[in-house]
Amino acid sequence: MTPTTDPALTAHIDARNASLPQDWPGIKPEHYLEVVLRERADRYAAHLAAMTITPDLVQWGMAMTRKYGPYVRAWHFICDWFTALLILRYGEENRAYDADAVAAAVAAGEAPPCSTDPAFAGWPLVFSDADRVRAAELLAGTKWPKEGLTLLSTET
Amino acid sequence: MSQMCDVMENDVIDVYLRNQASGKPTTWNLGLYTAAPGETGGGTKATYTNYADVAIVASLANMSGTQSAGSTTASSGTGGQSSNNNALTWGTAAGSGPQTLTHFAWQNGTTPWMYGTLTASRTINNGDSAPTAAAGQFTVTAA
Repeated sequence: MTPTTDPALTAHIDARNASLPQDWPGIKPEHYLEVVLRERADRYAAHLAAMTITPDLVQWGMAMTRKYGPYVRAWHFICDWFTALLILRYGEENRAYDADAVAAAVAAGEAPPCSTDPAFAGWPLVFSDADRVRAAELLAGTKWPKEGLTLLSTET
Repeated sequence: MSQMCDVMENDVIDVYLRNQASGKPTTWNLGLYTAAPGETGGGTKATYTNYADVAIVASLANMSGTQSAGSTTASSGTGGQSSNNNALTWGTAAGSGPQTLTHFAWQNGTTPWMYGTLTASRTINNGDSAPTAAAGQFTVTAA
């Protein structure tokens, strides 16, 4: 594997951060994170729309909603269960991805195994078997990430 | 608190249950992140000018035993918690910004092995002093 951090994504994040004081004049530094989360929310939605969600995972999402409610806090961000699974497994944003695997897939005329969109390089376009195992663990309530996922019912 | 990435979970299983050699590093790089890593790795490391990971040699001297913060003998406690025995400083005064630090990760090289959220996030502006952590401030719990 050749870990590669997409320079376009790095540039995107740097530009977003640099624009914060201009876009939000008077904003206090402690509120920067809220602006960052708003910007990420749009990218999460766009990426999920591009993903293939198989019927078994649709069932999982409905089961999670029945058991825990429709939303969960993933670190600082309140989101649906598919976004939460992505964040838990692949991080909140920018990650190194396997550039060799992407190049091989492109050369073979196949779909790349992960997103090459600069906004979300590295996030997968389909959930893997390992992701499904993790999803099942969450539904069962086992191996719950105490820090990463917080049920909203426990916050009120 | 912190949670393990897949790579560390697999290493623990292989070392303790399957008698394999560990892939653990002799020196950990403790990184600060602006976006959480995931169980498969990744995350967004701080990138402001003059940021640098903190290198911590794995040793009794550098990480406390579970019996108490600051201890330097083999662990004998019950809480499963260790913490840094020395003050930590990530790089020098920031030469750019803003960036909001929200997470940390114990890295093998640049690969996160375990990670967690900072108790309080901190926004680094251009000219701000380097982030620091006093001894005992960075805890790891194995439970």
